[in-house]
Amino acid sequence: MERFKRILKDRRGDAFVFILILVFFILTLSAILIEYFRMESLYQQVEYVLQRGVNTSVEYAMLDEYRRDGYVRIDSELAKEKLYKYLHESMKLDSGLNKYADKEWVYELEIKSIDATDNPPRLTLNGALKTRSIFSFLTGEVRLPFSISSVNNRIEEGGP
Amino acid sequence: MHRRHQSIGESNSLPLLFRKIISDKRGSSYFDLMIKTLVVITLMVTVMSFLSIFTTYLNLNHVCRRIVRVVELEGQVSDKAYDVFYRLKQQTGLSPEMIVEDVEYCDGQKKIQLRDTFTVTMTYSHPFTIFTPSFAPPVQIMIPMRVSITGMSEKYWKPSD
Repeated sequence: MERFKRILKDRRGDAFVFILILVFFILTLSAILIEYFRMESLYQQVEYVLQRGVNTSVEYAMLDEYRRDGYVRIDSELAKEKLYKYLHESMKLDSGLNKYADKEWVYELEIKSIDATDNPPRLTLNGALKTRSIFSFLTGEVRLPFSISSVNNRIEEGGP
Repeated sequence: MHRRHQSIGESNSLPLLFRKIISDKRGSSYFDLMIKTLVVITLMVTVMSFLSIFTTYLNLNHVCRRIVRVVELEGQVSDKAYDVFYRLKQQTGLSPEMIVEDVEYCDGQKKIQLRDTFTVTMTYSHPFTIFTPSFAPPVQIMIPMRVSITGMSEKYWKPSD
């Protein structure tokens, strides 16, 4: 006990301890910033790719016979099917919608709902991006929600 | 006689005056500050000139991304894509070369079928000026830059189109 008190009172080497604390703070702050920008970049990348998938699914499912008469309608079931095909074939997600890069897990897509309406031809994808950060031991897995929608409202000549 | 004596005295005291100024420590912190300021300004100018390289790379990336988006929406390497490319070249002051590769055109035309991928590659050599002497042309090194971005067509082309 006495020895412990003596160590606490001893002022020798306090500059070294101060530098250690300062370095720890700087490293932690840098790690937080780098991790934030990494996750932000991942989120934007996934959002961009998903938006493209939703757009192409709507484009695939447009019913041309209606378009000829000036109406815009989609086959909602076909749109959903094409979206799932895109997720697996183009985004290379597995059956559980997990993304791997060099056999290493990167993220998982958690799809809450896919809402498709025939008229107006709209496809909306709601869900969340589940990923891990270096602070997972504190926060657990990170969930970043998204809502992506695409509408085809191009009207050619004709119609009522 | 008096004048002659004075001039000899002046010429002898000049090195002595210099020696006295150099050995005099008064106002030394003022010179110290001047030199430090000069060093800091030189360092800042060097760092800022290096920043231009990153800015140019970011601009090139931006141009490439925009062109990819236009081709994605148009579903072809159309005049619109070249028009946007020309405008972006004017805005950024860069003159990169553009190549569209890894692409399979449909119908033998420059059309890219829905969900088919393509890659736009831009190359540019950035002239980085090291220094500009007044009596000679500036000393420059060319820094090669290359940006490749892959896109996917969002336009469906009917076989008859």
